[in-house]
Order: sequence, then C-alpha cells, then structure tokens
Amino acid sequence: MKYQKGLSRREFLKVASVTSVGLALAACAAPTAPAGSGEAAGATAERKVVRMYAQGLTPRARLETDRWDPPQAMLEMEKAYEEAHPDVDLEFIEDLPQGYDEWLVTQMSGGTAPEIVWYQRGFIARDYEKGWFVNLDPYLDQPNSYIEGNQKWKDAFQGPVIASGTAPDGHIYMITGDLVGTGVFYNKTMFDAAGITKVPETWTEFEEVQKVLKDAGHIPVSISMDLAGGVQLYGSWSTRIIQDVMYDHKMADLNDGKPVDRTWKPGENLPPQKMVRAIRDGKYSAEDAEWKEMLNILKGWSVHWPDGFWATPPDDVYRLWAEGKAGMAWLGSWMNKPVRNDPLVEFEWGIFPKIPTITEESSPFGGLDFPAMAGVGGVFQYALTSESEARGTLDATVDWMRFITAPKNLITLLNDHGGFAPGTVDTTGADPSLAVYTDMLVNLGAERIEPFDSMLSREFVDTMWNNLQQFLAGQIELDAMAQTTQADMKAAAEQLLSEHPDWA
Amino acid sequence: MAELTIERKTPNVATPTKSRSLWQRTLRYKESYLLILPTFVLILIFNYYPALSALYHSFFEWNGANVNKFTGLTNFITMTQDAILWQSFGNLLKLTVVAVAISLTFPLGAAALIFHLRDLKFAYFYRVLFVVPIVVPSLVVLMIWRFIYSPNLGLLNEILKAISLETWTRPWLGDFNLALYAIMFIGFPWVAGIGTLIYLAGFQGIPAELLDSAAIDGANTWQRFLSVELPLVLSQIKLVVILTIIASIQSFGTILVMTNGGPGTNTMVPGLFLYRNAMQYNKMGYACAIGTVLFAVTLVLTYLNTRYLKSSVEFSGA
Repeated sequence: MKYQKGLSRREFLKVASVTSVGLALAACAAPTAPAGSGEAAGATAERKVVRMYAQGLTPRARLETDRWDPPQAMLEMEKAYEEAHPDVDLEFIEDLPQGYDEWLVTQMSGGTAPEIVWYQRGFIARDYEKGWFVNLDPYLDQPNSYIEGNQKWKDAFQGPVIASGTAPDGHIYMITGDLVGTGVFYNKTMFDAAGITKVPETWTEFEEVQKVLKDAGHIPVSISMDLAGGVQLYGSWSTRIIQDVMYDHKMADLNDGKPVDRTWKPGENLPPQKMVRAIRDGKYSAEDAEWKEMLNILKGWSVHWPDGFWATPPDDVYRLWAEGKAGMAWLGSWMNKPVRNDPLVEFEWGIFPKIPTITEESSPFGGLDFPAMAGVGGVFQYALTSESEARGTLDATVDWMRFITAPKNLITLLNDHGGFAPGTVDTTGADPSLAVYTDMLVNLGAERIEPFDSMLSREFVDTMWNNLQQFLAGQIELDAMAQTTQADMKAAAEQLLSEHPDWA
Repeated sequence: MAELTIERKTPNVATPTKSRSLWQRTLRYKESYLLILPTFVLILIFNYYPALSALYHSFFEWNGANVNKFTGLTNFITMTQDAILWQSFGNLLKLTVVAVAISLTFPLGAAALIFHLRDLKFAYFYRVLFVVPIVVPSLVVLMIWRFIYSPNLGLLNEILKAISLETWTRPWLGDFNLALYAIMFIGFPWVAGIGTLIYLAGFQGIPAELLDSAAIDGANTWQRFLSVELPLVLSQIKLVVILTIIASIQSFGTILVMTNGGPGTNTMVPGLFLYRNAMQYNKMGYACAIGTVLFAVTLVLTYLNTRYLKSSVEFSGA
C-alpha cells in the first residue's frame, strides 16, 4: 500500500511518538491552581483529607430494595465539622459487605489505608506490633475541646470501654465507644399458637419448647454454621458462653489460682497470654471433660436448627425468622432497627431476657446462668492508622475523632444506627430500646475465657471452625474432634509463645 | 481425507544487501519501539514485578509487615506435608478435568448448531442470546446459584418438594460428598460464554468450498462434522482448553463465594488456600510459594497442550 504524498511512514511515526511522549509528560505534571477570586486564592493553604472507613456507620442513600433506613447521621457530622474546619476534607470509604480483613491487610501493606479504620478490638493483640496503628495515649490525656469542661478525652468514656483498646504493651491503639449485645428473638404469635405460654428459663424447658415448635412443623431456632460467615458468628457465640459455664469451677486454676469474676469490663477476663500459658501447662485442653461437654451440648442443640444448618447462608438466619418459618433466632443488637422496621416481620415478637440456663439437670457442669453474649465494642471501634502520621493528617484525624466522640454526637450516630448503646459516661438521649442488651451485659457479665477468635492464631480458629462444622454435621466423632483440636491448639500456643517470649 | 496445503505468496520486499546488528535494527525502527515502550514499562511494573517478587518471597518467612526472614526451601517443604494443600490439588484436578470436558462439548455443540442454522437472522439471534449472559457480573450469578442451592429457602429444594421428590432434597453446598459436584454444576447448560463465540468464529472461518466438497463426496452431517469441521477448529479448541485450564487453576472466586472451601475443606482449592494464607494468616511467604508452584503447573500444562494438540491442516488466504 502506498502512502499519499506529503507524509511518509517515517514522518508519521516521528510525529506520533513525539505526541505520545508529550501527552504522557503532560499527564504526569502536577495540576496548577486555577486563577480565581480572592476567596479561592485565600484557600491555597493545603486542605487536609481525612479518610474514614466507618463500617456500619458509613452513610449511604436509601435504595429501593432497602427495607429500613440506612445510617445517615455521619453526613450531618461531616457537614458540621467541615463548616467549622474549612481546611479539612472528610471522605468516607464505601462499606464493604465482605472481605474486610483482606482489604485492611492489603491497604496497610500498600501504604494506602485511610486515616481511620474500623477495627475489632480483640485483634489488637495480634496486630499492634506491625506498626499499623497510632498509640493514642498522649491524645487521650489531652482535653476534648468539643466536650464542655472536659480535662482528658478518655474521661468522656466509661473506663472499661476506652481501656478495651489496650494492647499487651499497655498502650491504647483504638477508640471504642459503644456496647454490643445479642438476644434470642422469638415469634410471640407462633409461641401462642403452639400453646407456649412462658419464655423458657432453663435448658430443659428450652428443649421442650423447641420440640413443641418442631412438632408443629416449624424450625425451632434459626442458626447457621456455614463456613461463609455462619460458624464464625454462631460457632463463636455459642462456644464462648457454654465454655464459660462448663469451666466455671476451673476458672481459678486457669488464672494461676486467682478467682475470675464475671464482669462486663474487658481486660478482667483471661486474655490470650494467660490462655496460652494454660494450654502449655495442660490446664486447658480440648480433651478436657468440660470441653467435650461443651461440644455435646452444641450437638444436642443442633437437632433443633434448620436442616442443613452447616450450609445455611448466614443471611437466611434472619430471613427464616422474619418470614415466620423459624420460631426463634439468635440475633445481634445491630438487628434492632431492622426488626422494628422490617415490613416482612408481621408478627408480635420479643427478646428473651437471657439465654435459658443449663442446670445440673442438663449437664454435670451446669448450674450457672450463661454470661451475656455481649460486650464492649460494636460498630464504634476505630483505630487511627500510621498512614495519618506519614501524610501529616494526624492532628486533623484526632480532632475529627474528638468531635464525633463528644457524647451528644456519638449518641446521635448510634441512635441513627439503632443497634448499639453508647459507652460514654454521659448517655443522655440514648435509645431506650437497647436497654435490654446493656441490662444483660451489666447483670450477667461477659464470658471470662478469651474467645477462640482472638485467643490464638487466625489459622487455628479457621481450623477450629472447620472441625466444629464437621463435628456438628456428623462427619467426625467427638474424640477425633477433640484430639485434632488439641494438637492444633498446642501448636498455636507454642507458636505464640515463641513470638511473644514475655508471655511465658 | 486429502491434506490441504496452500502456498503463501511472499510480498515483494527488497532483500537487504548486508545484515545489520540488533542495535542497528533497533535504531532503524526507533519510533516504533518508542511507541510501544510505555506498554512494556507498564507490563514490567504490574505483571512481571509482582510475579518476580512473589518468586523471591517464596523463599522467605514474610508477613507483609514486620517479618521478612530468609528460610530457603522451607515453604516448599512445608507444602509437601500440608494435607489441606494436597486435598486442594485433588479437588483442583477434578474441577479442571470436568471444566475441560465441559468446554469441549456443550459450547462446541452450541456453536456448531448456530453455524448450521440456515436462517441468518435466527443464527444472529441465538448468537446474541448466548453472549448476553457474559455481561452479567459473575458475582451476581454466583449469588443466585447460592440462593438456588440454599437448603431451606432455595429454589432447587423447593422444586423437588413441589414435585414430591422431597427425599432428594439436600444441603447441596453442605453435603460433604456432593458439594464439589454442586460447584461443577454451576453455569449449566454451559453454553453462554466466550467459548461458544470462539468456536463459532472457528466454524465461520471454514471455507464454504470444503463443506460443499464434503457434501458432494456424500458425507452426512455427522461425518462432515467429525472429518471436516472439527479438525479445522482445532486451533480454537486448543485455545479454549488452554484458557479453561488457566482459569481453573487461578480462580477461586466461585469457591470463596459459594462454600469458602467447605464443608470442612472438601471444596478447598489451591488458589483459595493461597489467598487465605496471604490475607488471613499473614503467611505471605508461604502463599508466594504456593503461587510459584501453581505457576509451574500452569506452564507445564500449557506447554503440553501447545506441543501435542496441533492442527493437522494449514491454510491461508489465496
């Protein structure tokens, strides 16, 4: 093919390559500030961008498919704060429905994490040495200017609540501002129709109620033990509270001879360091009679769960109850607002004041009430990342955190969410419907043994949930489950001791 | 069947009178190289660098944060003793064999049927029909299949109950014997997708004269398909098989969404195990070692495929 006269192939390529390089250089050039009015010119001081992953408090618009209002209050906070601080730009990262841990690891490794991330306080012991988070002690000792008369920021919180963000090195790396609970939601209409007139108080009564519901053609309790979220939630909750009752008579043994009281205050339980030593010394083992009894109780309870509960998607747990197929569902306080507003729920419902007690009639280790499956730290658990230091936005980030933790603002945020009670000293204006969860927590206390989720390594807990799922599904026997878990537990404890010699 | 060989006419190009060095040849076409240089730089940064970094870190105990210790072949030795990893390779083999078998049958058959439609409008309609599902995000498809398989609210069990086959109902994704096969069944009837398009393009590239000759020689439809059409789309078959093998080895999104490797570890695959070690256990070095092994496996399988699956016919434009 002949090129037309006037532009040879060589000339065309020369022009094209020079143009491409020029465009590439232009794209890499820093943008120049536009000429403008005096006001715009006065704002040439650099605006600080504070990015926040607010998790459940992330504001978003209501979609057509939403059955209740999503959180919005953070937008009011943002507007108020930016009006008072024109040099600060607040940005919210979109809420991730799944894969948060993986996202966080990637962001922290890549140095692109936002200034504020949501963080489960139980994992601080695992990650504090990685240099990911800012030590907040100096800031917590300074006054919060958004609270009248406040001398130290940390005094605005209830002591155990703010102390829950303390890592094994004694420093606080996160701001916890709320309390979370769970409860057994039950279908009163279904109970009445089945002739159940009283909320069960003991495990024996509970089993009878479940049998009545099953005979009436209903699913007694909606629970999921599937690996995509079910067993991580219900496996954790159930083992935490049952284990606390089973080991009640041995708590002092696990604590070097000192008694361990049930309390809602974190840090007064048996933390990972003590549990690792107990495992090393053989005081706590998956082959203990108490441990096996915990599994037996779960296995016995599982006959009242949905068919194929080990493959039931976690989302189905609520749906089965809301659609009237299941009589009960163990739900978190974060479902408080959805349940109250969901048009699917067309029946009268209630919450058990406590999970029915395992008495000696049901188990040789029974007798004590279950602890509340509740605790400090729900949606308001945030850590400030070291990226804020690197970017020079730490002061702005701390100031924003102080603003939203002023009790009036924090309670506004939590009421808007509808699922968590404030952990501040001043709780004026808190949603009274959440009192049932805080009452359980305060009256019954929380579990005393560190949950499996944070007791040992993440690898161990994945194996634990795998084994638990297989055991409950009838694929492995009790002794095999106990043996395998004990071997993994011991290996994980030894690994942690080698990584933390001070724990020995 | 007679072998076809059609000579390629070489274009009229002046033969250089003397050979030039590599540097001289590069300088001669420097504008072209300059144009493609940005692409090469990006490939180096975003494709080669991460792969080489993974190969390097596979010899380290590395947590992606504050631990980075050289451990030699420890990660690879650990892999040989990792029962879950061996199980995952077994699952991968089953998934890959079935995926290849599926890619060689259903989409090929669908493409052949579309190719033989006499009415071009119908042919176009069916082609579009089979391609449209590609635009639906795969996650949406997987969520729908998850709903279909749900033991208490799922479509499959509800249909079985409705037709009095309640004894056939299962927790499909929770059945320790069936979960992997339930995963394989996703996408049934496996005709919508890029494979059908690739095969159809191959069929459409067959010269009409060859099909006419076969008809004149008395070949029936089946004989024509087996003896004429199939050998002439062998390149496309090779491509689809390679792509299927690579996709099967690398992907774990389906497993992650549907079962997360469960029940137990019955649907675990190496890709998911790698992901879990890297992102959840912070064992980045071990994950890199798994990735290196997967790369080696893919390379060997691709080589074998290229070496032994050859088209017996070569032809080009007249």
